[in-house]
Amino acid sequence: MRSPFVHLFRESPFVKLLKHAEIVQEGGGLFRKAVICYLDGSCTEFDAFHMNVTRMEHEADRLKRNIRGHLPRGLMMPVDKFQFLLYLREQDKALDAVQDSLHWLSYRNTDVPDMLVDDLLLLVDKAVDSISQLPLMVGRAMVYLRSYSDKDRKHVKEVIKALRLKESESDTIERKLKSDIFSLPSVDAITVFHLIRLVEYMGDISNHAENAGDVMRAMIAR
Amino acid sequence: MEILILILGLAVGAYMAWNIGANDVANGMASPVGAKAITLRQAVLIGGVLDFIGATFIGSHVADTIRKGIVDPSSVQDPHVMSLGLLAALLAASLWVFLSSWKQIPVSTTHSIVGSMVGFGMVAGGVWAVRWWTLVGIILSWVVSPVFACGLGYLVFEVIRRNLLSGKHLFREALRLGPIFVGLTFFIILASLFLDTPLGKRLGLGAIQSLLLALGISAALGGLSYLWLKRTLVRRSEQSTEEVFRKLQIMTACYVSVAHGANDVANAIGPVAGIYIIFATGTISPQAPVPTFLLAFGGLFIALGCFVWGYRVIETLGHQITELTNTRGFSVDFGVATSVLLASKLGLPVSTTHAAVGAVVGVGLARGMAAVDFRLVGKICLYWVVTLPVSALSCMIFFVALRAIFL
Repeated sequence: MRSPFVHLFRESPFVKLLKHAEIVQEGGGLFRKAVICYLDGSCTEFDAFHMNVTRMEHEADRLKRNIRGHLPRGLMMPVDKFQFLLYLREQDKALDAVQDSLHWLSYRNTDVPDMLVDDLLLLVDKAVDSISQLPLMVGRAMVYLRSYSDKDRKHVKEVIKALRLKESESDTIERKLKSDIFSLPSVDAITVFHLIRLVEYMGDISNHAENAGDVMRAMIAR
Repeated sequence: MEILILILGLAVGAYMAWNIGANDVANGMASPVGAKAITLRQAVLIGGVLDFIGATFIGSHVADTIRKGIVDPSSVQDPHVMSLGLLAALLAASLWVFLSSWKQIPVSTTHSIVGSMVGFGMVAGGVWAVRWWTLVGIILSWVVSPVFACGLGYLVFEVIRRNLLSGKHLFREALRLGPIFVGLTFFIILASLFLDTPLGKRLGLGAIQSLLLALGISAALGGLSYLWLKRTLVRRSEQSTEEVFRKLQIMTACYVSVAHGANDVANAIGPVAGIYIIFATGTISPQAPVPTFLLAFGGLFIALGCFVWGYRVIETLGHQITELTNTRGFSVDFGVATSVLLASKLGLPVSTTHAAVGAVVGVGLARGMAAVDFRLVGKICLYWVVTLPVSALSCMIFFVALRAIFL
């Protein structure tokens, strides 16, 4: 067989991008368990969850490098390559923020005041919800870029909209938590600093997921 | 001796045609199979039968170019030398084609036979026996045909994407655009069948009459396709654009087969026709037309190659190029077939495979492909540069050897 077609078609980079998004989502699930474990003083598995997230972050990083390394100059894609790489970066940063949050938690065993626990868990849920949208968004984008139908494009835009909403809710909770932390009576400065930075790291998860959504919006622009 | 050369020529020509059928029919047929527009069995049948039709009825122009367009017949006075030269060209091209099929190198049969003819001309009649201006035209067509196919592929997919895929009124647009594509396709096929061909002459059709007849029939067929699409679309209102194009892709698959047969049969039969005419008339006789039965002979072996081996290649490629959905496959096939058929009418031997690569790149430029490696185009260009001198040189060696044996 001497057909050049064998060498003409390459695997879609979106296949690996979807796998990357799934790893990020999986990391989000472990992140939630890790935070619950941290808040529950008697749980001993925090380190195990933390380690697993770190392992996943390495796995996602490896995949990110692999995707970047297989986008040569002569490869034509249905989307702008620069935007694709920007998207990948933001998606990866979402998991980085998850990891940063757990690293930060692991530095100190802070006793989180009861009045903050509900909002902190709500912030975690918003962050996890945000990154859970990423595989869905990539999957729908893959369908759209194959069909180019208006209906499928709307499906992608729905996820982008959901991401924006979740980021906005996450921001609101983050601001409330910060205000509450500064209003805590008789708490030492180190605890305040630990909690404030923690909330910021957690807020970053939704920020990066939203950024990924914004880049996706640019990628599917007509 | 002449009969031996003719038998050898027919055998090598048959091998070339078989190889073309086995390897190259897949370039047009793999995408409709991959996109499930047709089954593997239908692909083999359509590929074989329509390649045969294209070869027999439209193949004469390019066969003429290979036979007498590259080497000036008047510069090789001796018919025996001419016969041996044509046989040497066939042998050299078939060896090169065999090696490239074995080692999976994307080398075109067209380029091999053209290179071989140049080699023969240079060794038999000197540098000026080669019609360099014709050769320049042929080489230019190797650039123009993929670029043209690329442009058409881009244009057709862009029209489909803008008007159908992204549009809100699928049925209305499908009803509007579908018949235009059908009519246009039939117009080009019919015009090729009637315009300046033995069939057109037998029907007593001049250029304008041929065009008008082709226009009339294709308009009628376009109208019929409108009614057929209307009925089918109404019956299955949930149909997507891809499904609409699944039906239209059957048509372009046929189109590619006709175009492929029309152009590629010359690579095998062009030199054989020269040998046969020398055998039958005893002279080089540049005016004698390529016998239709020889074109049919070439078409038959292309069809046999497709039936015996081609299905495996179609199956393998069909699995690999699933990226070519119905709309994309339609755009690629339309670009390839139009480009190749127009080249055939101009008597230009072009590579169907390279036109197909051009059309895929065109659809890729229209953002139709998930990942197309444009760098392959560079590799193909490199093989162009290599194929010509290598096949020319090997033809020279074959010719000198044959001359030592026979003369």
